[in-house]
Amino acid sequence: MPRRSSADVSFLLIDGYNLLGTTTQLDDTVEALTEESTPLGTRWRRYDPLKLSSASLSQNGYFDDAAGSAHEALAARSGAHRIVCYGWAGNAVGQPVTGFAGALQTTYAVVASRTELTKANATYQGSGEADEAVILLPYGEVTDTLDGPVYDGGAAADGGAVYLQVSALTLGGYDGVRVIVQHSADNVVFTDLVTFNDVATAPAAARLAIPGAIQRYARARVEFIGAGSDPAVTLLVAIARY
Amino acid sequence: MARQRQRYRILTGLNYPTSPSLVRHLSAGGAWPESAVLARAVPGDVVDDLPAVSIPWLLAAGAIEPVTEEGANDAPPQ
Repeated sequence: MPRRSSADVSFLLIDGYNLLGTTTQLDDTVEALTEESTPLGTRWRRYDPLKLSSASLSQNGYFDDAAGSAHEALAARSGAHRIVCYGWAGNAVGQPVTGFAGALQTTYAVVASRTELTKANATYQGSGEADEAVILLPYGEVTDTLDGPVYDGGAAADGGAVYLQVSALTLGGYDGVRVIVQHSADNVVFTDLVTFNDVATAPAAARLAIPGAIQRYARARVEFIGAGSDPAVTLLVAIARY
Repeated sequence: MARQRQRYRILTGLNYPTSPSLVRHLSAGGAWPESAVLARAVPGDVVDDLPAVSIPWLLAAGAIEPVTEEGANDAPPQ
């Protein structure tokens, strides 16, 4: 993989809020927990793995109280579990996405300093899985029923997880939007793998675990439910295979 | 007299191409065209135009089941 820079960070989605435009730094840490196991008569400390991992995320950026921006997304949410996805290598099918199943927002700090723009920072403690996923449907707008591009990720016998982030939705009379993740063994017929709950308001986000096998090819299908005109949804779909 | 095509009951929602040329293209490893037209079938539907190349894996995955000629299992799943 080539070197990446801040310009390659393509989205930071927290429960559907896209905070990329107000964020200046992300610090994502995954730690394998250990316990010291040094016996007597040893000159060097020893540690054994606990087969337990911990994830944490911190985010620094600018204070912005516009509708749908950082303050609305973060204020009064400390102590709440958030579904977080960020892409650090572009916004194309198959590019990596880091997903947090239930990041617990632990702090939200507004920092006002003389001669500086006011900052807004937040920290999260991973609670549950942190997934190394890939983009299945790039973050962007969809305006009609769509069978998304196919991603060949190889078959996965042990299942995985899928993420949905919806940051904007115009129903135009429709009842909602339905997102289905499909898979296929031969890239010809695609069967439904998992269906997210219909979304009728934005922002919104969901993560679904896939307990069974995932076939080699995957794609996302977007359907507008009911009848209407000129609908639009801005969303991201990502998939992790175990 | 033309032989009747095997019918299958859909057990898992699926999308499939109905164009024989597109099925051949995809089966040969071709990429999906942007404007591909797909048929959608949902659980309980009975269809007879699934691409033959996909039938084995769909049966193995439990996504479809054959409908007998006698109609013994024509009732939709409960």
